[in-house]
Amino acid sequence: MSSDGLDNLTRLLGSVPYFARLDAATLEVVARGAFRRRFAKGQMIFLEGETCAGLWVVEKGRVRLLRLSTEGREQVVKLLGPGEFFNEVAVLDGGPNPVSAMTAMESILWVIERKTMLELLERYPALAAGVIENLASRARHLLALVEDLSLRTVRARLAKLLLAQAEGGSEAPRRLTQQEMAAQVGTVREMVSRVLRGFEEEGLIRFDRHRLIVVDREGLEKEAKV
Amino acid sequence: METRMDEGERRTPEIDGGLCTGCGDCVAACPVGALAVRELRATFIHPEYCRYCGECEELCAVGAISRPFEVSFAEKA
Repeated sequence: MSSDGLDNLTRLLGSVPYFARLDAATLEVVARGAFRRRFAKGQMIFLEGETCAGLWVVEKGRVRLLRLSTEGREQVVKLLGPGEFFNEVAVLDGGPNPVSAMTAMESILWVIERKTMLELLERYPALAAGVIENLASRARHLLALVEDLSLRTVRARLAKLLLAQAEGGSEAPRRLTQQEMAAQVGTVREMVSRVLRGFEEEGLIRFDRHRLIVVDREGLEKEAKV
Repeated sequence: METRMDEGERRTPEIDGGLCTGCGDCVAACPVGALAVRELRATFIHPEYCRYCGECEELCAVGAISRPFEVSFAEKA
């Protein structure tokens, strides 16, 4: 790896919560054990059930972590962007990949092999502390997802998703298709289309070409709490 | 900001050329004649006509057409 590439990766790793506690010299050690990979839009990075290659870090682009049902329906577990990482569970327990990963757009990723990560965890307790903290935060996220799927209706889950998207929106609005919304709330596109039409008829949202505008925020918040 | 709005006005649904079979259902469904089949693939020949209504997306049997949306809150008056 060139010294520029190493510097860039060291900076990128420094912005990853896992590695934020490490000093510059240690970050460089981590960076030296990483490989850069470029993926096209919609390319599968790895499949659920395959042997884990290592820890992945997103430099550029977006990655969907997803599970596929036997009927082929996608449930997006998480959408990741630059500075975020994934597949740490398989790195830590040595099991197969718990989810599949696919790029949502052209992406540049780094992979740090499992063996390298385990050596680093042993040598640097600060890294281990970061890993534990992050796993706990992921566990919270998954608990919230379990609650959503078991207790909320599709209407409520979609209302919640729209509110979260609008909250995050103004700086770099993330564009979502109905298919992506369906995958995130665990249903099919036709259902999303029907529910969105219902929201529109009830005056909760309106469409302005490619913009979906939340007109009645309170009303939508009520829907999300059902 | 202006740039993004300008780009937005020209936006049309996305067609996945890998999925599109060129069946022409979307051409028949489009109420404004924005679509045509060219070289066995659906394409927007008149993107300026497109109203982003979603008829093509609804009709496409193979899910090749999708409309990405930016979600935001209405600005307060």
